[in-house]
Amino acid sequence: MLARVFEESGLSTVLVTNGPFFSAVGVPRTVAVEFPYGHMLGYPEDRPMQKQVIEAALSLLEEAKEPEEIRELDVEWPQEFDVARKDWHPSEASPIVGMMLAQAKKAAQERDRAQRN
Amino acid sequence: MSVDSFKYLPRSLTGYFKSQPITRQEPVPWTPLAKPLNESKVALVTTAGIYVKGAEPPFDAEREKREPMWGDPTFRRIPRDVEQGQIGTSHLHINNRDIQLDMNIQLPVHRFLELETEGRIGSLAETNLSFMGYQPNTTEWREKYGPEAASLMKEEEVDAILLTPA
Repeated sequence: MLARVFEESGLSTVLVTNGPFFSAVGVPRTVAVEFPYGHMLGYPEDRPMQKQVIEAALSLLEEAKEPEEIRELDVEWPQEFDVARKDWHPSEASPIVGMMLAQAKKAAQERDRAQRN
Repeated sequence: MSVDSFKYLPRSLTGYFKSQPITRQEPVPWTPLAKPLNESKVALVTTAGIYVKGAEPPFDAEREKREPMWGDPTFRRIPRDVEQGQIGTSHLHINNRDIQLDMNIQLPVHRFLELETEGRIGSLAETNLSFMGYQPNTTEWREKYGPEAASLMKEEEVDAILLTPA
């Protein structure tokens, strides 16, 4: 969304994302990384890893000749998957997730009540 | 390697996102890089909900708690001389701990100052920007805050932007 707005106003953009699936909306340049949310450029205080991702983005800016190129970066996330898939979540559920969980709980309680009656 | 866009999402949400139609918008905008990168001014834009403590307010998380289908659409300015200790985060959908430890994982100001010194880029912009990425409705981004951010960067004669969503 923002990439498109900026590109339309005459600024060249490159997006680094863990969700290249969504670049199908029409993103000018995409570098895809398989990293957890909130860590698009790598692991904290890992300068070589951050530099590697940034260099991929800068190269794409220089080399892309037409819109919608997606380059996938083959870099493994350093944490165990079972740790990483939980670790990016906020300690407290976001308001929308909290609301959905409360609705699901209410629906389950109503189902139980209906079954008892 | 084929990047799995859903690797870190809970399964319930993966099904939801895959079932949603993706609306392609034509034409896809295109601005080729106008000059060599080592002469270009680069700005950083993230949606990680970062702000500079004491300089600007956090994103409005209190309103989002009252209205879970609303996300603050405004943006904050992050100067190029920002220090890690000045960084605040107000994004209710990610664990902000690692950004508090090292902002460069989402807003790589210090990496880009190094790239400027090395001559890989011309310069890092004076002002970099942060939005907050939870936007159930992107109308205000598209019509108001996105264009405002673009004008600000054009005034600073930015050539290229690195975007890092969250």
